[in-house]
Amino acid sequence: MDENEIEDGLREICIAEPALGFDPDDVATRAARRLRNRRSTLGASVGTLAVVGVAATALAIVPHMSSAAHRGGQSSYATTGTTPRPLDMTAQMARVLQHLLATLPGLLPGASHLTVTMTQDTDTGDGDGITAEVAYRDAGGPATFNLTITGKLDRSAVPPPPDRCTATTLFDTSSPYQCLPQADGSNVYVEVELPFTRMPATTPPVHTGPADILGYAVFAYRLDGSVVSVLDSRSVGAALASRLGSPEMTVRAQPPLGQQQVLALVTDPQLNLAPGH
Amino acid sequence: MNADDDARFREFARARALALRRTAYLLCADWHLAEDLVQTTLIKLYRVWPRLPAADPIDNYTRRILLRCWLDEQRRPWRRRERRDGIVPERPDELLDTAHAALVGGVSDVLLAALATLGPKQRAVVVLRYCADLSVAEVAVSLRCSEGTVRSQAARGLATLRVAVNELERST
Repeated sequence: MDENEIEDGLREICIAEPALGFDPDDVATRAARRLRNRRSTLGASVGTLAVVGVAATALAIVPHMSSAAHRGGQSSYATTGTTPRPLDMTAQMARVLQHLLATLPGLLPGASHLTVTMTQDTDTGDGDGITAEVAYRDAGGPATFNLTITGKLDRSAVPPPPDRCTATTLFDTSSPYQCLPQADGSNVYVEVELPFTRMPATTPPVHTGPADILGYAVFAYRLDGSVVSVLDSRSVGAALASRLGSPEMTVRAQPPLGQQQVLALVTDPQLNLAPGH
Repeated sequence: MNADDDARFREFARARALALRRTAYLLCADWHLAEDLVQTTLIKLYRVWPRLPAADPIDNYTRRILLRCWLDEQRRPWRRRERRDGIVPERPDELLDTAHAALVGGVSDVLLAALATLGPKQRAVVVLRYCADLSVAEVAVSLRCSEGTVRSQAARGLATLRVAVNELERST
C-alpha cells in the first residue's frame, strides 16, 4: 500500500461504532452543577492572587501565569533514578521571564512596546512546557514570536527530532527541513514555513526563494531531553496588531527575527527548565 | 450561564457527541477512554461556553480541548508505560454490534492498527488532517502549532503508517 492509498483509506476509514454510552444532557447537567459548586467555593474563600510585575526602562513586561501556575504550578520531574522531583513551574516562568527581560533589549535593538506573556502549556498544570509570547514594534511594524521550552513530560507536544541530522548550514533556501548538529552533540532543526498552496502535505515542496517564506519554526533538541523552540512568523494577528498600534492583521515583509537572533535564543543555555532553580 | 446558553450547549453536545467520540477513538483506540475524554471535554467546554468568541468556530475550540485532554491523558505515569506495539488494545470490543462489526474491517482494520504505532502528537495530526479531513490551517489551529509542523508531521506520519501497514499485511 503506498502513501496515496493510505491517505484515501484514512479519509474513508470505517469503524464499527457502539451506541453512545452516556447521555450528553446528563453531562451538561453535571457540568452545570460543577460550575455552580466551583463558583460558590471561590466566593467563600479568601485568597491572594500574586501578580509578578517587572518594570524596566522602555519595556512593559506583562507576565501572565496560567490558572495552573496559580495553583502552584508543580510538575513531576525525574532528576535522579526514578525519584520524581517536583518542578516549580511558577518559579521557572519567573526565572525565564527575568532572563528574557535582561537579554531581549540587546537582541532586539529598536524594539518598543515590548511585552512578554508567560504561560504554562497545559490546562491541568501537570506538564512542563512553558511559552513566552513576545510582542513588540520595530521598524517593520508589529512583530511577535513565541518561544517555548518543553520538558520531558510535554515531549509529545513537539515534533520528534528528524532521523538524520546532517545539514552543514541552516536556513538554506534549497530545503524546507534542515537539521544541523551542534558542537555539544545537540541538534537544531529548522522548518521553513511556505504558503499552504505551494506545499501539499505529502509532497516535498519546491522552495523558490526568500519571498515565499512565511517564517521559521526552529527547534533545539537538547542533550537533557528538553526542546527549546521559536516560532518566527511574518503574521501578526489582528488583536495583537491592534495592541501594537496597527488597525488590522499584519503580514510583515520579513519574519521579525533574523537567523542569528533565532539561533541565539534556542541555544541560550539559560533558557531551560532547570530543577532546583 | 443563562437558560439560552444552556439550551444551546445541550443542543451542541447532542449533535456533536458521536463525532467527538469517533475522533477520540481514532486517537486512543479505546471506546471507554474515548467516552471519558469526550465527557471531560464537554464539561470543560461548558465552563467557557458563554464566553466563546463568535469568530472562533466552536468545533475548532472543542477539538482543541479534546486534544489537550488526550495529550494530558498520555502524560499519566501509567499511560507512559504503555508500549506502542501496533496492537490496538480494545479490539474486538464487546460493546460492538457484531453484525455491524462484520461489515467493516479489511483496510480500515489495518489502518487502525497502524495508527496505534504513531506517537500521540503525530497521531493527532494524521487523524485530524486525513480522517477528519481538516485543512492544514485548521489542524494547526486545533493543535496550536505552526502549519509547517502540521505538514512535516503529516508527511512523517504517512511514511510511518506505510511501513506499519506493509508489515501488518505481511504478517497476516
